Amino acid sequence: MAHVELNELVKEFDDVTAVDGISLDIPDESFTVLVGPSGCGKTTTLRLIAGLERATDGEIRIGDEVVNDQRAYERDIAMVFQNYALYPHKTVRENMRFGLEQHDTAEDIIQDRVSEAAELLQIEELLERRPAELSGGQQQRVALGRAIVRDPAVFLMDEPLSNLDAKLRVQMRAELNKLHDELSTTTVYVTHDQVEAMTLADQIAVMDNGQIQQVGAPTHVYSNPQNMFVAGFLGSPSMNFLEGTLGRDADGKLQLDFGTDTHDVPAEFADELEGYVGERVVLGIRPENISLNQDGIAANVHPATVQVVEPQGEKTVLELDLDTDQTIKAAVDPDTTVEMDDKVNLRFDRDSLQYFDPQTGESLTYEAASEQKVTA
Amino acid sequence: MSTNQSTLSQLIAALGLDTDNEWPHVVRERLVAYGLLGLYVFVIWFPIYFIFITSIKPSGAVLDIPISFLPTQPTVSNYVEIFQNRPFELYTLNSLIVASTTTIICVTLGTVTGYSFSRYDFVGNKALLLSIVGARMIPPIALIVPFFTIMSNPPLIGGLTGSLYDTRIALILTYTFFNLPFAVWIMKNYFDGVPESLDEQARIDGCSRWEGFVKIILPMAKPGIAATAILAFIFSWNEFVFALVLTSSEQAQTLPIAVSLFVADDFVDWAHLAAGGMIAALPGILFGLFFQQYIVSGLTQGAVKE
Repeated sequence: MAHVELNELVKEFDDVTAVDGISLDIPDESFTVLVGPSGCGKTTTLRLIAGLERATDGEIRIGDEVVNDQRAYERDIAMVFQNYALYPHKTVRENMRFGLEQHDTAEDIIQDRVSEAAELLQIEELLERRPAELSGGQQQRVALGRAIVRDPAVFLMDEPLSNLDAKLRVQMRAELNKLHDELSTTTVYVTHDQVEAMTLADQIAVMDNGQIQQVGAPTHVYSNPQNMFVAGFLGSPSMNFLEGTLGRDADGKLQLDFGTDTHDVPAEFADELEGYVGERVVLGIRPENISLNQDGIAANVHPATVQVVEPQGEKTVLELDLDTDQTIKAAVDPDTTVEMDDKVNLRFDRDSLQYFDPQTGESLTYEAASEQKVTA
Repeated sequence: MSTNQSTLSQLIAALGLDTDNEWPHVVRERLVAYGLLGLYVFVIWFPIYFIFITSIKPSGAVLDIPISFLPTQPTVSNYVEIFQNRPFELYTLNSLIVASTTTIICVTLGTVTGYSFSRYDFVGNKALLLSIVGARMIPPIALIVPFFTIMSNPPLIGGLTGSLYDTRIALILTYTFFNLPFAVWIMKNYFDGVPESLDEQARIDGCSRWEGFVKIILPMAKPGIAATAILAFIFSWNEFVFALVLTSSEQAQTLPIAVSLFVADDFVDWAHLAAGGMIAALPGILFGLFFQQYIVSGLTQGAVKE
């Protein structure tokens, strides 16, 4: 077991900077997920930790050792590849033994480790088969088994579930969770799937453009995104962004003006937003924090027209046109009976509002929101 | 008419066509396909069959008219005589040595070079690969004079070994020159089809790059190696023009040359030529039949990304 530390890590390929000076602390026994769209540098970061790529600049520490100049096999890591990378000409048992044999492990230890891992993953009856005779899910288990027998300081996983069908993916996700509870091996996991990231991680690092946008516990990052990228990336359907001009109402309270509609800023954000009066500000609201207010006019409602109704079983997603011509998505109760072209009034949950600077994308209310959540 | 009908239905049954479950037009199309294939197989095999039955006819009966297509008085005397009257064992040995040495060199160098081209991104990678393969596009006949000159007076090693003319080494060097580019090309494409994550997994498992290549990648490349080997072997075994120009005696002459020696200025010894031809053809045919499964998979591997 070991913690992993990245300091100002940079990786350049010719003229592309894949990893642009990231620093990240991966605590011992944690399950850290690097998540981001394709090309964000998450896989390169993992390969740098693995020793498959050499860092252009910066420092990688595993345990207390700087490992920049160590080769992959000297680093005490095991990796699970997206395509599993099982040796096709070796049996499952030989696949699992190979790494230990290469490290001159004693025969009795090899046998113990292989049978322990096989039992843990319930692949005992597959040991004499070759990878081509296994299903995708079984191959996945063997790839995990091959990592487990090594008993490494760190597991590195590169989108290990993305080649599985949807149902199996959910099942393996749960098993990975269980496995990590049992083994407590520090794990760095790369995925572009934000649901996977949310469910598996105890620390999530959202990446974009070779940089880490935000690090934290999944629920914290989800409810308190530091910028519009993180806010939009996590959550499905993603967060709605409504841009308006910040002004004041008749009473002098802060109000966001969308043109034909206005939105009253909750009093607790007044301090943070005071300096932005007269400027453009983006309001962020997640679809699940929008509800329909069909009982006539009240304060803080936004009139809209239903454009698309998508029943999804546990919820119904509505796409609506606000009177201001902005489009917005709302996830509402599946029993809601609305149809296309219905006029409705939307109510935004006032505890779940975010405000961003449209120029920089940075959250204007990040700290206030976190503090409020912590005290509440 | 009715007998024709029953012959047709027997034929249909023999070809495994199911008239109950197939559309009539499908059955007709299959019959046409079988007919064309049968014709093709006949065209391919008839010359070989004709050489075979000529080789087992008594010398005097070869030119008899009408030609007999079935052996009437089969004899092995032609086979015995070519080994008694001519050094056919030496020709065979020369062919074996030249073809297998060429094959071993091409497979060894082709595999290592192909792997490097597939995995290492070095300056001039693509240009170098193109130039290697491009050199092979020159018609061999254009190179025959330079090869003759070089082998007769090797510029560097000549002082030590003398002329390479009429040696097996000359043929091995020449055949390697012609086959190595193909070997590199085939193996490079083969390795391109092997996911690089396997190399990386091997490195994580504790292999150096060389160990990973030898222990993991190479065992997976057997079909590619087999395809390369068979092409190099058959080319070297069958090659005629360079062998004719670069050798002059049984110390280096190969089977194709030996067979051609039965053609004299005013007389062709057909029966012995046919026997020699069978001996020359047999290894190629057996080799080909045995390894043909690998040729296809070896040549097409990497063509489609999964």
